[in-house]
Amino acid sequence: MKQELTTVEAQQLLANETTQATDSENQYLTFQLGEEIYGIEILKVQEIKGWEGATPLPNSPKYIRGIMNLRGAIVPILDLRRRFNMEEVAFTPYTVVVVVQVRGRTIGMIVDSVSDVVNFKADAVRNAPDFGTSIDTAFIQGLIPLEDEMIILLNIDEMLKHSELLQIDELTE
Amino acid sequence: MPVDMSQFNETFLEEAVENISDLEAGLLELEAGDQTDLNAIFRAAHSLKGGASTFGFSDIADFTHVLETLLDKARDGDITITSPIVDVLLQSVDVLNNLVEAARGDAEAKDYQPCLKKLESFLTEGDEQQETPHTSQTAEAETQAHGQGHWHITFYPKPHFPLTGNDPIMLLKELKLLGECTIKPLTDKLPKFDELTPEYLYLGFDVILASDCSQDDIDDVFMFVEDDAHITIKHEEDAPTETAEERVAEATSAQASTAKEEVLEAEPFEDRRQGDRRSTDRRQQNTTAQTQSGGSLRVATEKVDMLIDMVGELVTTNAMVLQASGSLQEESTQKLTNAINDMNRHTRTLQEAIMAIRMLPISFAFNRFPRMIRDTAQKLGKKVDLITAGDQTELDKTVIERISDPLTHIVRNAVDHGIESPEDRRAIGKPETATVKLNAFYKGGTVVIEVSDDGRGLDPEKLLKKAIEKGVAQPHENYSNQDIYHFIFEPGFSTAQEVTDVSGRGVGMDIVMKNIKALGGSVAIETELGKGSTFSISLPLTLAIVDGMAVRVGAQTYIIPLLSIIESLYPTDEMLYSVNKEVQVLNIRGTYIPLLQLEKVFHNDKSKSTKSIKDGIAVIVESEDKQIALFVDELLGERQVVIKSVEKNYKAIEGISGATILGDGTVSLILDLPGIVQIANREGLYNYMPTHKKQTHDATSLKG
Repeated sequence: MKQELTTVEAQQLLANETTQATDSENQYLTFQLGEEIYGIEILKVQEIKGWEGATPLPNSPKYIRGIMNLRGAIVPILDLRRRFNMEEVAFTPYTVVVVVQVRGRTIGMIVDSVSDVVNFKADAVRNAPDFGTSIDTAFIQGLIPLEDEMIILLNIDEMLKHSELLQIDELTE
Repeated sequence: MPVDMSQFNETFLEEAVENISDLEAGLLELEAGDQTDLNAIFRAAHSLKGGASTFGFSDIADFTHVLETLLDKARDGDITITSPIVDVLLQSVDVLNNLVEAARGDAEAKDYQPCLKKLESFLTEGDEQQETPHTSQTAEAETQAHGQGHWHITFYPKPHFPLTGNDPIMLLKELKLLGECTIKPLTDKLPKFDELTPEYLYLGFDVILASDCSQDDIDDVFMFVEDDAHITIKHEEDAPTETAEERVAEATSAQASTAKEEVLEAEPFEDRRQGDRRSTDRRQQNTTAQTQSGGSLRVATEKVDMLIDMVGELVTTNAMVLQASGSLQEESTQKLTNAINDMNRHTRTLQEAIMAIRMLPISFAFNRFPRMIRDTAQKLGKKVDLITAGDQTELDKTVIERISDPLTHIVRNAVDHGIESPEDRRAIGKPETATVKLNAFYKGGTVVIEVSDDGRGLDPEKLLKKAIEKGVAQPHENYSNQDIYHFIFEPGFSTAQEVTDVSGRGVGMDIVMKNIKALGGSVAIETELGKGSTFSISLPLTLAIVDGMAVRVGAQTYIIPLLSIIESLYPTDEMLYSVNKEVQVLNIRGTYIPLLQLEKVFHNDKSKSTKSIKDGIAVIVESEDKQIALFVDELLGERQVVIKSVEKNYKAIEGISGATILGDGTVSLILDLPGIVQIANREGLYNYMPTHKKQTHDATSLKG
């Protein structure tokens, strides 16, 4: 499960797997941040890009790395490690930008590496207990046990909403 | 099969707005005494009604029906258009606008019954006026002449008829409203099965219409399809003994003979192409005002925007190729270089052509003013003439849409505050009728819109007193007249002696300024006490492209809009003064200009300049009449950049107006100078210098 894919491998994975979902199952793209495995609904994922740097924006929170050019569109880049207050690591060849489409917006998220595309029945998702990670539980849609690992399903909508709110808070500080 | 018409609602509503504005323009011309074509006004109402009933907007249809009837009578000379009628007609324009807004869900539908009643009252009056002679002489005679006559109509839509968006059934239904119809399909033009194109319509219709309606009534039904169909209309006497079937049979056979037909289109059907061409020629000769539009195309804005995006991409790619080709030195690459230069030229031309699609003449914004000035002046008991010039000056659709409201406000203010009452004007020897002039013209890379009036002008003393009263100005400061004039744009500032319902609530002018600034524009005021004022609004031609200077600051490349750059210079020790640790100023020819470091404004280490102040460059820019010096490491050269929205996927960022993609594919930020000044002001990065050394600038001193 804990595999690291290169950008090209991850892109191929995304291209191949998206057609195989069945009615009762949901597909998730899993990726790693530190020791944890996260999953997001694959329908929200638009594409995967290698990290090529971003143009920083003035007076923005640290977790907004800046903006990048995605075939002519200006896309903000969210650093998930910084967003979740994890320690910073140097970028590796596996560092990728997962580009998601949420509420008509296109947003890039930097993750350590993409792992896999997995299928789960909806009832495999457990509610998240209020546990002591650095992540706000509002961002967690649920947990999926997988062998001896656990996939944390991210509620991207909620997380991005809070990220926007946080910026407003920071401005008034 | 029922068709879901709702998908066309938006199109109808758009068209409705156009029709209503045609209607309004026609009415205003009528009122001004111009010999307007009543037909044009009628046609606008007629198409509005037709559309409204087709798409199920019964309120609009019912209301327009009465309006149309009135206009029809006026057209026939049964009713003489008087000024009260024009008033009510203009009111009905408002009603219609409201109904359309309500249909969009943008507004509450207001009660239109009062206006409807007024319209109807004119109708009955008209009847009373005209009916008596009409019935006694003509109508009776007509009845005799026509007897129990009927109309015989043959209607052959051209095969492509359905593709033009028309539905013959609708037309037949409309005919049925005129009287009892016997309709028979004509299948003689039906081609062989294997020659049949499924989208085409090959049927004709033979209609016997038992009605005492006039030829005009029938013509009206077919008014919009004349070009797309062969129509013959003739009046026939009834043979009393015939049954309906016989009548049709006879009519069909009689169709071959062209005896007393009134022929609209007589070309043989088989000779379709040639016929079409000929008919077009003929139509151009004898048609009345039908063909007035200069061939335009209704295209969804998104499609145009996509084209603009793509051409922006092309420009970027082109720049990449150009940059890459720069490293090719070999002689053998000469051909390639030439080709690239050609491509570069073509790309530019293409870009300009595509940008031009979005350009509209300013008359789209000006058109609303005749009505508005008329109403405002009437309400205030003033007499005002409007003169417009430069109506055809083109600028971006978005700019036009967003300047309309601020412009309206300035014009309304001119009429309300600027212009004196007719008595006052007479007393000081001015003509009673005041003049408001709207003028648009190009100046450098901008469009200037001037609103001038010959009213009382701005009184700097009065303004200053008021500004101090309102806390907008400081009592002992020394203000230039320009400074004082600009106080009217401050929030909460209103010079009207009392609040009227036209203007004077003190909100507005600050919003006006805000909106104009948001468009990257500026306002200059010229005024002479007692003589009048001119507000000049300078606007960028388009919001999609900006001419900029690329500068390097630290690791970042920024674009500074070229129009705001005054000069660039190497600061010397003698020029530099430190006010305190944070604030430095440059003394440039006696003017102290605060020096800003972007890294401090943006709180971004990556835009920390790598050079010391003596080695770097100061770019002097102007923002809202204030000058600041931006410290940069390097000037990278002028370029035209395509503005991309950061807001679209993220949010608006203070201090930048957008981003652009450079030749190497990286993203660069476009500086928004007013925003930067605001941040700097807020964070105390510079103290605003005393005004005695400050030069006053109007729009003319801008570079360009």
